[in-house]
Amino acid sequence: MTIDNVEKDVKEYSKLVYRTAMSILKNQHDTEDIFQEVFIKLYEQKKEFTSKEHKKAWLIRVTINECKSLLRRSWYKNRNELDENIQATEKAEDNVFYVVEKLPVKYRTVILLYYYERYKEKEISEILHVSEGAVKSRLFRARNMLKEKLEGGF
Amino acid sequence: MNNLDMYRTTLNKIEPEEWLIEQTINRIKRIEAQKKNRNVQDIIKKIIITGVSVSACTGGAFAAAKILNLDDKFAEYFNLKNGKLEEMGINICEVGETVEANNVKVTLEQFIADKNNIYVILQIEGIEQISKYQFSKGKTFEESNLLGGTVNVTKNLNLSNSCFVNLAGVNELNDGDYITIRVDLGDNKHLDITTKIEKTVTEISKQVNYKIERENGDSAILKNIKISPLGMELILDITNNKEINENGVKYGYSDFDRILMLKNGENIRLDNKDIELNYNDLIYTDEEIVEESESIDGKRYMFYYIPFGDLIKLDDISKLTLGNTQIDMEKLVAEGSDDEKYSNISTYKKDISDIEQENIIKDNKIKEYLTNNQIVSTVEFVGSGYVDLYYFDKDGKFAYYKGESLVTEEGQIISYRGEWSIENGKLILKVLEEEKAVGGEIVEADELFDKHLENYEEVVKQVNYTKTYNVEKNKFDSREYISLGESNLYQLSIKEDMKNIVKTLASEGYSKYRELK
Repeated sequence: MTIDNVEKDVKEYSKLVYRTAMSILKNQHDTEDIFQEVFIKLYEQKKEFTSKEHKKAWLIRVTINECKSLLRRSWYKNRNELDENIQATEKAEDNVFYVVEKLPVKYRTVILLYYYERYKEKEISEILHVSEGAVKSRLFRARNMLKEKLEGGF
Repeated sequence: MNNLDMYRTTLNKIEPEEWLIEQTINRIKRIEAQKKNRNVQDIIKKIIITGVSVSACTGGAFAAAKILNLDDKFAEYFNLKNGKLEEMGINICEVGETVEANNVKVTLEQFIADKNNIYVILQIEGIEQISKYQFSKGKTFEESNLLGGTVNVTKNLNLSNSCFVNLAGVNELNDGDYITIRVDLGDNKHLDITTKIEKTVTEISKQVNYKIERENGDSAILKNIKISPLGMELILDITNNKEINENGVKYGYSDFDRILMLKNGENIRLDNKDIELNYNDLIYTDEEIVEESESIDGKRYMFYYIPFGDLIKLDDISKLTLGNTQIDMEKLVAEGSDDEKYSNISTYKKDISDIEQENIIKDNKIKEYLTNNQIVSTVEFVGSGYVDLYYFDKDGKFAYYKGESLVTEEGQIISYRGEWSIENGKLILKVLEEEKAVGGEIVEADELFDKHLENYEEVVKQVNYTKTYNVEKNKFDSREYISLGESNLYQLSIKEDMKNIVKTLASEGYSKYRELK
């Protein structure tokens, strides 16, 4: 991939990668690190993408893998909760975003992909490398968890 | 604003600052520039390294030393194709062997695995620590076969020169597959290790008998505990669970709650902070656990990746707390004889019979679902449209019937029948007879019907072909179903006459079926 193409991609997909990483890591500094790693990886990889959607799905998958890898590290704990980007006044307890962010990683990831990125269950299963049944099950559980905390649920 | 809108609105506000985008682009530009500058110099270095490699391997005196440092540019320089790599003496690294390049030696020490994960333990000399790696399927590193992303290496907590390489994507790997791990040595250098997968499991397994009490009076018996470098597995007997017996299934969730799979695919909640494990003066709690998993038989609950960073020794666990129960580890250790205690702390290959047993359990659950005297259909509920119906009987006969659909073209299959079986998660349909629409005339769409075929003849023909589908039993919104390739099969309540048509077709054939139609 040429440097010009990568520059274009960094600009085009910056929000996608940043948002995905932030949703998982809930920490701005770590998100910034992962953000750079993902685009360096995009530059270094030699895969031909068949479409924009293919590239987008690849970026999401790599971002999630990078984040999970970071979370697995034994020293990774007691990190600051998000988020310096959002105004403090919006961090109300009834703000659904913060409720979602308190779900375990695997649940908030499917919520992000399904409700925000609007992927279908089958597509999410391909991105996450899990069965479609597992995606449905996670969505179901996530919705139930949210129902307990939110009026109206999702 | 509803919750979903609020969620999207808040997420929309999360975006990177401009400086981060600029910094990322500049960083990539620097990498590009460095690569260009080093290109010629690197090629010269690699020629020298490869010269040593070939002489070591062909000489036979240093079979353990293998140098596999070939990157794409180098391969291009020599016009090498994959097939030629082995001709050059690129051998497969086995456990105990060392790969060497750029003054760094990496020894492949051990595979550790369970059914959910595989780790490779590497011993490293000549560099403080490998920080990142990627791996791909195959005997050479191929971007197109990449599994997972770039992954950070987990350093062994106790042995400073070794580290764990987590081969995520274990589901795509089988015993005997070749993988190539590309470790990043920094400074734009890397080293490739090619090896064959051996799903070797190292674990401690103990039969125990501990009662775990919950605040609501329910209890479960912990029957078996398995601890490995990859995690902890608990097998529980929940037959005396009052909540399930009296009230049926209840779902409950909160932050960091653990969902415990029970019999019949039901769930119950263990409360927050249920698990605490003291090991080597360190305390591991829920928050240390990144992944979790449930077993197919619904009786096991698995916690993943408590990062011990080493093979855990049962003797070094000082305390294990489950719910309100603190397990006396000294007693637990003392219960078994030394032979029993340590015989399991060894490396063994996962027995093929375990895998077969798991497959049998899965297959039986699917069989049970399909043969429950029910019609199954690819639609979840009977609507006004058509329904594709299947009937599977216990004697191994099945029928497929296209139900109420309109025949839209000549040659369309209306029904077929034959024999069915399930083996290793695959549904095999041996089709022996099929019914097709022959002749007829197309009627254009009107207010009531779409374009369709009328006055056709239903012709039955003897055939012999097989359809094979991947099948899996799943559950969603409390409703169980079978995933059948790309579609799902649901147990369906339909009218008795319709049910009889399909059942008769399966068991008695086309003559009786015609009478009922």
